[in-house]
Amino acid sequence: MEMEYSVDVTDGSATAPIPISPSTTTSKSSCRQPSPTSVLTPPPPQSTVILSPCAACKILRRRCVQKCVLAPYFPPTEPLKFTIAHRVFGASNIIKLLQAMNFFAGLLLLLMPEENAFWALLGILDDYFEGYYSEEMIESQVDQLVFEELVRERFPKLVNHLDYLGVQIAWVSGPWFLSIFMNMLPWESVLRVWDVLLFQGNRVMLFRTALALMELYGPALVTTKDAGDAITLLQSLAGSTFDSSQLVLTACMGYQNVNEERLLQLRNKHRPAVEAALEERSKELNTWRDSQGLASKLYGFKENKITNGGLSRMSSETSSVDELCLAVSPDTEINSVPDLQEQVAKLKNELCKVLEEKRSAILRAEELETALMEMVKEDNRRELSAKVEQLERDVADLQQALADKQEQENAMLQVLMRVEQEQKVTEDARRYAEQDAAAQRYATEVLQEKYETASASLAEMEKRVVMAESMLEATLQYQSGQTKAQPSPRSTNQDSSAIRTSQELSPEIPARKISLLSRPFGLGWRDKNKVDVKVTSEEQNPKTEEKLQVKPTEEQANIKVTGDEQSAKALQEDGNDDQMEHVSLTDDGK
Amino acid sequence: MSYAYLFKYIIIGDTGVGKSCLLLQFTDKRFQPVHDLTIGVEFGARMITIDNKPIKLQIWDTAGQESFRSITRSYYRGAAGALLVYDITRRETFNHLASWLEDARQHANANMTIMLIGNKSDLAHRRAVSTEEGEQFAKENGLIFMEASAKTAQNVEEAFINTAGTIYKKIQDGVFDVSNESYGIKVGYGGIPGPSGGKDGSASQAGGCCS
Repeated sequence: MEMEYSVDVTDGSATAPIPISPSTTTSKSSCRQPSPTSVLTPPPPQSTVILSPCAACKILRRRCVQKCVLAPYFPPTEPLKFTIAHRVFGASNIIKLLQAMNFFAGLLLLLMPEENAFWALLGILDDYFEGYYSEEMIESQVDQLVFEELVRERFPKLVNHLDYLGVQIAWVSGPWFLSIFMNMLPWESVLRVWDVLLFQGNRVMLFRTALALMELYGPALVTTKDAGDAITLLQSLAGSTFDSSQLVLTACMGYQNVNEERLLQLRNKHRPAVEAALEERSKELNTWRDSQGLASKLYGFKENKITNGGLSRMSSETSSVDELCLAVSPDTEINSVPDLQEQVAKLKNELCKVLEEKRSAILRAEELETALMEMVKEDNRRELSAKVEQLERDVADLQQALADKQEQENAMLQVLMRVEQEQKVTEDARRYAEQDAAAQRYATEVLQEKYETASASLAEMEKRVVMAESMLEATLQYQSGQTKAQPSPRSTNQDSSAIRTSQELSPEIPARKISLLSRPFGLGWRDKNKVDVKVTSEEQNPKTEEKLQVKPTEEQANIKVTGDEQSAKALQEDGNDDQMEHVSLTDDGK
Repeated sequence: MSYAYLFKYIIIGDTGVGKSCLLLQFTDKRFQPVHDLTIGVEFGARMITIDNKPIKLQIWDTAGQESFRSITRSYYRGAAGALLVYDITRRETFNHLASWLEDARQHANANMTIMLIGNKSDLAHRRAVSTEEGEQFAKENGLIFMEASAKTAQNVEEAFINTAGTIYKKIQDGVFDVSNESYGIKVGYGGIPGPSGGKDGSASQAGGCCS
């Protein structure tokens, strides 16, 4: 935001204590010395300091006034743009370039290399168009008035018609002059006009060409019925002036009497009017602005004094209020005391100078202060922004860390879930195993029971065997009792031996029984407690010699157990069996 | 081309606010990002229709530079409408409005319809003048207000046509004496044969005798 404050201004009606009559302004301006330098640097009274000057004024270290021509093109935010332009063209040339001179700068660049173009441009501007493209463009405006007078003199009818339509010739001829017909005439015509212009070394050709164009197209213009049409028609007709020879011939031959001297005279005649208008304009600007500040009063004071001092032919109405003037200059007697007047003027001037210096010093100080403030502000901003960046980076780091942690947590959760699953699986497995174990326990119980029944039946069988043996003995005794009739020692011997053998066998049976009980089943029991049901098949796998010994007996036992019914039939063969059993046992022992 | 009325418009405002671009957008419906500096005055014309009547807008596009101001002021005479343009991205163009307005009031006729236009509304991110400020200024000075963009053509048509509508309404209300051309209004040949018809004819005759 640019805040503006008007620091100075005016001597206008706005400042109540210093009233000024209209005549002051006109007389003042008419006596002002026209000088090109005063044109380039706008007189301080019009300046209003803008708080943030444009980039151009900042770099040029000049005061950026409200109507600074450079400000729109070089905003304070883009200092580089002006630096570049400044390096290439120089400040005053930039101003000129902005005032419509760009057209023929472009033309020159088309025809020659950059540096030559630049110097040619500079030469043309300084030698041909002095004061034309300055900030105020005074010469350009003067030329327009001169041209208008020439047209008025040459083509009264046309001018009458244009006046009637409300068209000012300058509306059309202004652009012609400013662009030196660039873009206004066809290319060839432009180049021919330029030829003549450069050859002649002054801008007389501008006037001649413009007059020639008026001559060529005047008749068409008078048929138009409104201002817009007239101007558009003239512009388009000029744009179609393809017969360059006719144009140049008309210009050079038809207007011989329009020459430099004549133009100089006319310019001098019209220049004061332009300057007056300019002055009035700037004054309007000033009065328009708020002008209540102390500085403005001071300045108004000064202005007034200049006015009084500089103008000796001032009319009597210009009685200014400030006491100095009242004391020294009783208006009507000014001419009679020129020395005094001069002295007063000098003194006033000096005072004004001092005042102005003071004022500009204050302004400068203010400017510097604001600049300093700005710099400080910027510094703070930079620091703060650095801090903010730092903090942002930290935040980013923290966020990164947080994301990492979350990832880790996720991973951990997954692992945990897997572990749980595994646990579940193992739990299941354990349950199965327990069930298995229970089943096995049950199976062993069943087997135990079976074994017990088996052993019980075995015992019974043994009892039967004993009974059978006793029965056999009884039978044998009976037989021997019968054979007593025919007694034979051998038979008795045989009998006794048989008894002996039976007696030998009977103690053997329990022993075998013990072995049966103790070995295979004992082992099996232990094994079963450890391993699965199928281990029964593997029971025999720990093949010890003892086991090998036991195996047949076990089989036999099994046979005995299972074949309870058959055992009765086999009773008779038992004796043989026992024998065989005995043999096998002995064999194993071997 | 026949028209019922011809309105003279003038576009004013600081240099670089986009006056020529607004005109180009309105007359040619195109946008030129780089435009030569206007020297003196340029013209544009377009036919529009209001209330079923063909109306020709003759638009004078002026140079905004301070140094041309003395020339520019001569254009105000006989303008029925004025578009006072500022650039919403440049505060100073808004600050100068009062000076332009004073020029316009001083050199144009009092009944001139003035529309305030905040141009470059497409550059809202670089805005330096708020819409409310524009509205406020317009309200204080009795202007019609609109923000427009010559680049995107937003509100460009509306700006010109609304102004024309206002002028037309003023004619209907009898504010303007259409026979007096200093108001910037001209009755056309193909238009309504109004009470001013005779005078218009005499005007053309006067033009004829001049040749």
